[in-house]
Amino acid sequence: MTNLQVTEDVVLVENVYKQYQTFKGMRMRNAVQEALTYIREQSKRKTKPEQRYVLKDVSFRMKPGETLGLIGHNGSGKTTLMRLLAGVSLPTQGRVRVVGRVQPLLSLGAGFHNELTGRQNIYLNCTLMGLDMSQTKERIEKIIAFADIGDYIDVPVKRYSSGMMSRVGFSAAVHMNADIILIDEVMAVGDYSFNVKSTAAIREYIQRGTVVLVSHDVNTMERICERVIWLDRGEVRADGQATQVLHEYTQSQQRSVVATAQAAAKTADSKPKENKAPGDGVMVTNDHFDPDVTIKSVRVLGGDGNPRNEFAFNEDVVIRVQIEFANPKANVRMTVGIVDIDTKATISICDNQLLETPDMLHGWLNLKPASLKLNCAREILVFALAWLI
Amino acid sequence: MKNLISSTYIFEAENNHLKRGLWGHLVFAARYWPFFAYWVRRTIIARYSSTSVGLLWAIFQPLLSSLVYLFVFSLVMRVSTGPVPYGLFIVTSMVLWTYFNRIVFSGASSIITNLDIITRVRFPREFLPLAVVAESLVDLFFGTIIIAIMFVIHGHPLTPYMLLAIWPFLVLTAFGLGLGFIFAGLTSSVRDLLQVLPMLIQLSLYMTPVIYPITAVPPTIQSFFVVNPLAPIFAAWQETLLYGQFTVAGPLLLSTVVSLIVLTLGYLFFKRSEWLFADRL
Repeated sequence: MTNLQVTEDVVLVENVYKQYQTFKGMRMRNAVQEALTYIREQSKRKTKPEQRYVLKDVSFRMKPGETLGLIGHNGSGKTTLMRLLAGVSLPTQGRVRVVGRVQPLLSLGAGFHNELTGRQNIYLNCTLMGLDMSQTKERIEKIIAFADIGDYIDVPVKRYSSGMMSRVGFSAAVHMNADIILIDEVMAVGDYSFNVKSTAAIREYIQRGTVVLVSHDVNTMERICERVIWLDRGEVRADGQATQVLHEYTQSQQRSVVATAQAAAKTADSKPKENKAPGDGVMVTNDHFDPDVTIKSVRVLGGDGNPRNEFAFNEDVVIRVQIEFANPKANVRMTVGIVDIDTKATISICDNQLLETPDMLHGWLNLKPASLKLNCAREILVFALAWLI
Repeated sequence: MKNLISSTYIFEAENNHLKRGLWGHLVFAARYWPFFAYWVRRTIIARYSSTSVGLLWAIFQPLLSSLVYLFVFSLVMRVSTGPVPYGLFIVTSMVLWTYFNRIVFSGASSIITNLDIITRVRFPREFLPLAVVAESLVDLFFGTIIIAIMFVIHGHPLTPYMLLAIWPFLVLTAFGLGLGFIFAGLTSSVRDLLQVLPMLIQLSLYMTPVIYPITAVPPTIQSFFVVNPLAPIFAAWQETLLYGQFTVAGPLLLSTVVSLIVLTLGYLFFKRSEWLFADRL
């Protein structure tokens, strides 16, 4: 915009607090009362700060043309902040000032109007951004070509896959004359070729406009953003140059990558038991599996041999399994594995290994890493099975 | 560059937006007129396009319910509608009732139906219930064609009173839109409302002279109908179109005032609760 001074901040967020109102009861009378109370409080400025804030004292400002990334765990308030910037939600406290037209990216299977076709939704988006018909017609072909979804452009968007929707939404957004675009996780949706294309488009857009990008993808963010704000439970934990903040963020992530390695041993049909002490195993009986062998303990240790609960990325983990068996001449077979507690996926396993010399105090087994994506903290379960042959 | 959309906004906890007042809301909404116009135009075209059953639905919905009431009130209960055959009476009434039903119910649910866009884009939310009215007008238009056809079939005489039917129609639109605003605003707090609403509308159907003429009501009870703003609206609709008379001007005037108040207050209430939509739903 011509009347916009270069030095003026396009986004100004001042001491913003956001708290979602939740209803205690399901009864209609309560709900109506609460709604009325809320509205009254809103207008009388009586809302008092309470505990559960989604955003706590968030402040930052953006210069025109700046590219800002927002990173943080799920529930850290990124989306809420985006909603405040898009102007669909009010801060409970504080001030949000946005200069310029904001184009939010309609990601993940949502158009403006589900009954309308992709093309009509693009028109709709243009009218919302204040373009007239001739300006719209100028760019519609470009938008459609960029989205590249073929004949689907004339099909109602309710029949779109989420990938198609995000293609159209993204394509429309970068071709608008919006001053600020808000991108929430859309990069992850498209396939690889579109991903490359959209990254290029954003880079091109960056030359002209201001971008706020929310993503979990550190790599994308590092490529696109010059500045990153790290939100942690609604608070700004770090705000600064992208590479530096992202480094801090990944460091903290890796710190808790294998957080709380929960040691437990498992027999054929007994459930693993939790153990509170760091790295301490669980005493198990595996009578049902092989009565001749007893697993005395399974312990998770650090490389130095001390019991540990948290491991950093790429750090050695020692799993010590103590077994006891009656017949010293027998051969022992053992399975040791690491399972992701959340997804139940096997992270690593050494299956059915023969412990060669029974009189040996330490048998070494090599755990081979399965597909382990270390982009978030994982809680793992270590289990061991042993039997005589 | 045409700068139709306000380009700067400031949101604060103690917000001016909430105090913008009726005129301010309307000025803000007017800036988004092209968006609204395109939305409504496209929705109507999509609804009545050849591949859609929209047109059939618009015609059959009032006709089907008319048939049911025709059976009940004409064959079983034998309600007297004076010189006008019950079939003609019920179709005329049902077309307007279907319109009212739709603007209240679809208006109330329009927020939840369009939740995706509400949580992402800033635009005047009153467009959603308003768009429902615009779409329903098309249904009503087809409805009036049915009425006209029925008039021709029955050889019903044309009277100058018919022109007055526009008055109850406008009052009903204001009243229905006002209720739509109120119920839509309430859905942010009471989502289950949409389950109860059809029942409430159905109840008000029986409490309003829609499926029976007001003359069928015993005179002692008739005075209670004054508290129902819908009663004079439908009475006037029937009188002007069917009976060639207009005796309810007084009550209808009262209804007009009530409807305008409901519309204004409903709109203001809606504008106050619209900030809850994105947060709550």
